Amino acid sequence: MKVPCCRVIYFPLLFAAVLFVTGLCTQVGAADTPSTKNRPVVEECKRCHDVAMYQKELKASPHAVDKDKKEITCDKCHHFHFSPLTSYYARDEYYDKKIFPPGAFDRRKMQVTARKSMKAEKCQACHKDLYKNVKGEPISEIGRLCHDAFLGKNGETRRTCAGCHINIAHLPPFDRERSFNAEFAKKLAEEGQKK
Amino acid sequence: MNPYKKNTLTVRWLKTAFFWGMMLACTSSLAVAGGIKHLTPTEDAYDCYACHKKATPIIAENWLDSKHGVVLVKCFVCHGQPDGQGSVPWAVSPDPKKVCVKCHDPAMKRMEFKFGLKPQCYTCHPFHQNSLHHKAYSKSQSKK
Amino acid sequence: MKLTRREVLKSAAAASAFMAMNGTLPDLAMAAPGEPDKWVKAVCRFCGTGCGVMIGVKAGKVVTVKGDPNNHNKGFLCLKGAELPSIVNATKSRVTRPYIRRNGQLEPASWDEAMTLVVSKFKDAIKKHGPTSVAYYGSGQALTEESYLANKIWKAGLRSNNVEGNPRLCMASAVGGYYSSFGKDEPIGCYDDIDAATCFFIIGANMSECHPILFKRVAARKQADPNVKIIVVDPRRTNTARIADEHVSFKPGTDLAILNAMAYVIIEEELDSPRFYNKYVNFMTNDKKKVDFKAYRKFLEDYTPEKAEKISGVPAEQIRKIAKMFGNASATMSMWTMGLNQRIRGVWANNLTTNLHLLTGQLGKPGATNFSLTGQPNACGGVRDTGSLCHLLPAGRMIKKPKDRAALEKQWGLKPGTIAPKPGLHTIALWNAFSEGKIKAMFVLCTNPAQSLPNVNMYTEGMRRKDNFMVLSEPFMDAETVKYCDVLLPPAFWCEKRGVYGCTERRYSLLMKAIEPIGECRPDVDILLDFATRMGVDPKVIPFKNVDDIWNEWREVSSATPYNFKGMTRARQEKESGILWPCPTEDHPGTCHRYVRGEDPNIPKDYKNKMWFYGTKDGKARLWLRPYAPAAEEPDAQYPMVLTTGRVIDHWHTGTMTMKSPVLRRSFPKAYVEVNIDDAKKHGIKNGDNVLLETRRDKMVFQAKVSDVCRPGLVFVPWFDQNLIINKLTLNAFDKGSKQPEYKICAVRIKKA
Repeated sequence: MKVPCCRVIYFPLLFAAVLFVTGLCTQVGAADTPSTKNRPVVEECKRCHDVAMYQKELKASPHAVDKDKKEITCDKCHHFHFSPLTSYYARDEYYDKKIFPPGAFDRRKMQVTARKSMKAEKCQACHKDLYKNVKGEPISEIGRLCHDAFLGKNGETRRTCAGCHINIAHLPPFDRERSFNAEFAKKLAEEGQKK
Repeated sequence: MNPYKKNTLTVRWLKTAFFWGMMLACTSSLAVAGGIKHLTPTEDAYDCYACHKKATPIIAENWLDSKHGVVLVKCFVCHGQPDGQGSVPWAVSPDPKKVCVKCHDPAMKRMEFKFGLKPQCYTCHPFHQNSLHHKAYSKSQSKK
Repeated sequence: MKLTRREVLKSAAAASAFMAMNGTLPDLAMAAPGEPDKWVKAVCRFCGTGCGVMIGVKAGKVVTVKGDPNNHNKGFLCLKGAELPSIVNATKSRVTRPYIRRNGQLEPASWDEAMTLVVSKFKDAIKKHGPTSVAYYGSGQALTEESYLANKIWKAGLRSNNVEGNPRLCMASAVGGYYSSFGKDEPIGCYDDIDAATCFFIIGANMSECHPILFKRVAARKQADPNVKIIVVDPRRTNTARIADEHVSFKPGTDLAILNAMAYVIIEEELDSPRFYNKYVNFMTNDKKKVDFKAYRKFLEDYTPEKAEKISGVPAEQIRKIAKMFGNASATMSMWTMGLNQRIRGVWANNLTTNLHLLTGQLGKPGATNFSLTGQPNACGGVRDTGSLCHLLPAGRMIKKPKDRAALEKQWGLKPGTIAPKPGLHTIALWNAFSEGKIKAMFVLCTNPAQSLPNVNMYTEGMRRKDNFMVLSEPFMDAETVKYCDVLLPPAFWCEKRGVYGCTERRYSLLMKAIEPIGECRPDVDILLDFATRMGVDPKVIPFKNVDDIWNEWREVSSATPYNFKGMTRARQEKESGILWPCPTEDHPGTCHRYVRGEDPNIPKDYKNKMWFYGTKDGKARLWLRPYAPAAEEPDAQYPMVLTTGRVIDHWHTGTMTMKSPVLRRSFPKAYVEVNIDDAKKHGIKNGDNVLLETRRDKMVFQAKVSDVCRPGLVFVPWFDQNLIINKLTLNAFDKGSKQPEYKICAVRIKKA
């Protein structure tokens, strides 16, 4: 063997390369990049995502408006995902073009990824004190215990905010029959009927 | 320059790094797989379901709709309690041979006899899911 | 070092070995206390379902339990049964030696000291005031042999008929109901009927919390056949109602009207069975006059669905619907517990439910039966069947009948006239007399009257008197009654002794001894034999060397009666997991349906009819024309709501056992009051607020649980909590027939505290 070391260097390198390429295609946790032309944030998302549906759901959710009654835009909670692959479609020539039809993405899978990727800092922009709600009222005993665990003061969790707080902004069809979403689902149905 | 000599040093470093990297990965995954620490509830707020209805609503609702929920096989019957007290050991994933067997021993023995399988119940019988509708309960082999 | 393929492989192997260990380590961490050395067969300590339990013992300690696969529960246990190990192992809370109260405090004493004192008090009382001044108050949780022995000692040895027990507080109305309808106590059918029924009529019972394994069986029946109908009649929308096709919510106490209205509809819809009642049923008026079907029909005209709606609040439409379900089904099974029994019209409520079966002929075929559910694990086998009540003798004989007394005296080999001819005092009368100092000495065994008696302040006051004496056999030091007893004796607990439990379906199962009694604890039969010997009771009354001797005598006594379970030898009991009586011979399999030719061994195989109600003179059952009458304390302007009490699945009775399990205690740490959402709004009560409950007897503050479980106008409080004894508020009015108190209904007012 002239260069047997290659096996030890070569395979890890190959492995790293594979990771890099898949990293190109994975979307989560990438840096935020603002829109280049000061267009509304949601316009950027619209190219691939079924924004109309998500906005309808958001309107009926507890996060329709923030405590100052201002509308909550996508980027307040979600990250832009900037990677070579997706930024290809972020170019101006694709503005206003629908690249994927609504329902192209598996919402169940997206929900899992989205909940894992949502960073606590985004939530804490409004929800600064974990022991009070946005109105300043103290939370329940159960909430206090859970947040103690989140902060590592009493037990621990591996979750982020969205890991526990589910269906607080969007309500996919497969979650609409859950008993704890009854109010949300009702409001959503009413909104749907208005239009 | 002797490429072989240079490579030997690099190889040694890489090998050591590779080995310890694997060790680190194993032990850290062990820490994760071994279970996270459940919070210690206050004595008055120890009812598992009341809290998990808010903290993990999907699992809680799945349980409530399932056979176990209808007949009130409450959380602690299978999972025990976080501080290990009581008659059932604390487990996020209960061991069928220690827990399920307390009630389902006849069925487990039948399964083992008929299909020669070790009882890994969860694969077909999801404990929390709406098992009233699950296929495993309508299969004719599981009756009489 | 040189790198070779070997080196690479070695390090790879080491890495993968570490990964493999990853999988086994959590297993080690979760290992249970250790596999048992042996499995001992027994019966669960808790409810009347009577599930078989296999106790896992390792090194003399109970380490685990699992369901007995060969008993009716087929291996299943509810959450309380699953927690038995931690309760058995709560040895720090146990009474491990006798105590005598001196200067208000319980002081440790030896067995000899304690028993000497007890016996001197009893002898003194009998000498000065006669046998009617001493009493025994037993339990539906004591073993059959214990109750049989105590009954014999008192009635044949001390010649006092003041033998009572807590089944008077739970099952007496069912006993009275069965007696008046069929001439004999105990259900006709068995649990197998659940698997054959096509309609379930569950009334006054929260089966999902009080008989969980039976509830599971009913739910499984419905899952197997979705056409099966389930009717739940309860002023509370309990978890039981989750599987119901019809939940009927009614004004508490008005179920009498609903039952009569159902009969009205059944006749109107021609779902009645003249073939059955013309052959097997006598129609009896409330004042014991025999009438015909026409008179019954006329009687029911006061109970049209519309009239019943006015009384009960149940829509006439729904009454018609459930009556049709009941009558149309091929096999209807009724099940009930305290909602019907713990009433001043308890016997009537039982009769009226049975009436529906007699009217429709829903009796004697698989799945069709009127099945009273027993609350306690051994109320049937231990107290009802052994006749350990003030007016009964073993196997259904009655004290007031000279022929019955004589027959028993002959079987016991005693002088004629040994048994006193006058029945003793029933529970409420007994405790009233004790509280007035008329009963001088009382032996209380395996029950907690300072928490379980209704209007309990009256009785705890009486227990404080200096001129009466109470000896208590109680396993747990912190039981409420321990505060009032004069002598405390340490009994062996559950699997520390051997004996029989007889559950709801007439199944007698043997509990085998699994571990040795702790401390100085002794099985209750030994305590009672010691007591009797020291009292100077005729040795012919207590010819027993051990608990098996007692069982064998009882077997023999039963053989002369329709209870006949002579075939249940100890050997058979050890091999099998319970047998249903009657069981006359060793090869008899036990009886699922009584009164049915071919199944009931008391009926000759060539009997002319399919059924024979041999308990009555003419072999016919009785359909009683019982009217609706209100409860003892209906709500009024001052106390406008109804207070009802009951159990929750997590706790058993007064919580002396279940509170020892850290799991069960935390699952339900203290009692709360269930308030209807509308009532809560009216009173400005939010979930978790403190609410003051007030009745004419006492008042107490509870945390509110606001929900839609209780109907408006009703509040519910569970009775397990020793720190919030709801029985201080309940009333001790009782059924004139069964003498059972009305725990289920009293008038209350609530206020945000």
